[in-house]
Amino acid sequence: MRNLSMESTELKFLIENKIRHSYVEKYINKPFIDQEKIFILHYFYQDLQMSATKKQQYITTIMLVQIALDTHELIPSKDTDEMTETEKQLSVLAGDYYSGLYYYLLSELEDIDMIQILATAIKQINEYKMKLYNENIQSIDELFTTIQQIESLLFTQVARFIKVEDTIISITKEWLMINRLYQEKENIQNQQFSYIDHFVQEQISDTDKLTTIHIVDEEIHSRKQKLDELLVHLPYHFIVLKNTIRDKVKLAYNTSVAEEG
Amino acid sequence: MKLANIYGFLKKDLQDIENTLTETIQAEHPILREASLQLLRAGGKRIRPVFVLLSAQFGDYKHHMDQVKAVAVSLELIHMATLVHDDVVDNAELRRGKPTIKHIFGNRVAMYTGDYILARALEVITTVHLPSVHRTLSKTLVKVVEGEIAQIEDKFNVDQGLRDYLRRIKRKTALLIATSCKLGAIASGATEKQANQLYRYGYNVGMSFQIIDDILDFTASSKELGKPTGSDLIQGNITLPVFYAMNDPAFLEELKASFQNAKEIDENNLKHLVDLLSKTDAIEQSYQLSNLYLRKALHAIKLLPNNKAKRTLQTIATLIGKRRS
Repeated sequence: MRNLSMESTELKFLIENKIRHSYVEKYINKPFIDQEKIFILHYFYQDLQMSATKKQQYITTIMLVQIALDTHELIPSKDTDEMTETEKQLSVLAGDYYSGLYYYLLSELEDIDMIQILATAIKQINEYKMKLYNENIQSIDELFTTIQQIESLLFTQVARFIKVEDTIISITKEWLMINRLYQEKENIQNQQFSYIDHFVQEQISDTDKLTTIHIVDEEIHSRKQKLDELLVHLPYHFIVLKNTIRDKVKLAYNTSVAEEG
Repeated sequence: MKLANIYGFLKKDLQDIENTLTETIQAEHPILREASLQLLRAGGKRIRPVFVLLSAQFGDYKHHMDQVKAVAVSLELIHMATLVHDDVVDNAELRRGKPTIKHIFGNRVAMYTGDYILARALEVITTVHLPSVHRTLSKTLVKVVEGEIAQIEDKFNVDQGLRDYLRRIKRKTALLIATSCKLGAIASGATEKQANQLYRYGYNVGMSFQIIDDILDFTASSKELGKPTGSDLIQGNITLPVFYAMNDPAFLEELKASFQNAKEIDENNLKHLVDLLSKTDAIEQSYQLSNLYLRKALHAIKLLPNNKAKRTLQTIATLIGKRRS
């Protein structure tokens, strides 16, 4: 079996080629393509009965949706100096362009059901984004749940549609959330905007960044434990997935529970 | 005669579509819902659903009613989604004389609203299980965005040709109208030949429609437009009247001077340019080209069966040529 990480890297290049636009590239940075998300999709699709090319097309399509959503997330709420007018305009249009491409690719595959699955996911993600942006959050747990939905909904909807096992779906949710929490922590440390930091500052007055970082660390720790438990109970043939995730999120190899064969 | 009066026989179906549009954008989040509904309430000509319904009369309209309506609703939602994002692109404070979502709620809410509406449009269109509908529509969506990117690329650039302008308005306006006609025909089971004839009609009508929009940007009052007169030129967009006016050396010189190192043209400059343009035959020439497209539109549907829908399409083409607001 070919190395999944290698295949994910190849897919990343394929996606980069697909979204290439000479004028847009002059003004805005190449979009971030999360290789771990490609890895997850690769894992979802690897046992499905379809050609390798078709699998690549599906993974590209789903990643295009993610890239479109991420690109629109770059638009600042108010017009400020952090983004030039041209950068802003092209970020709006680049996101729309990637959305058009995902629809185009799926229409070429004649997979109307998948178009619907992705559209529903985008609709729901935007509902959650509005909730987060508009601060309609009552508790820190609700905040974490909302962020987790934004991070994982696209992938969990696809997984359910192609009948991926429930445990793998749960693992995906935790893995993506841990990655997002690390990103939030980095933002706080680098004095950049973080929804978690913003929420904590609003809820608890006179708190410092260290308190927020402590809250994020606690959440990471608890999510890692949950992820570890999920991984331990996976049958042996999931060894590649287990080891990859453990390496990526720096989980200690759990030997306290006998792994099921 | 008003455009809406000539397709009175579609009134009930258009009302159904209006109701479905309202139902479709009932987001759970109150601001998302409010922003979407506000856009819907702002009105608009609903020209895309009209073309879908009229084109569908050439197939088995009654038998495929649900499918036809899904196409009509989806196309109007796509149009709405692009408007919300366009207002962020253009920094627009007003649309149809009313404050834009971007202006009231900020860029981020406008982005989420546009993405939400587009997602709803695709959810609606996926109730239509005809691959050719999705192939046509998705290609159009990609080209529409490519057209908008090209528009930014060509801003403040006097070294572009008429073909650049025509390609831009094709992608910006004509393709979505042409697609509305074609998809209405496909969804109702009209023949491929008829669908293509209607596509060509829609394309030519769309080209004329945009040219007239571009003319009105110079000739209508800001009250009629719901935005400042000459706003295209303020943003550096070279439209058809400007192309023709550029044949006049005095205008060209003034335009080049205004565009030099300019990100925006100031009010005095604009007024001077509009005055110079009005002394040329640019507006007259623009109407001539618009009329040429309208003649092509009428020719495209010449062989379609003679029915009420065909007569209405012919009347619409004629009225578009006379549009003054």
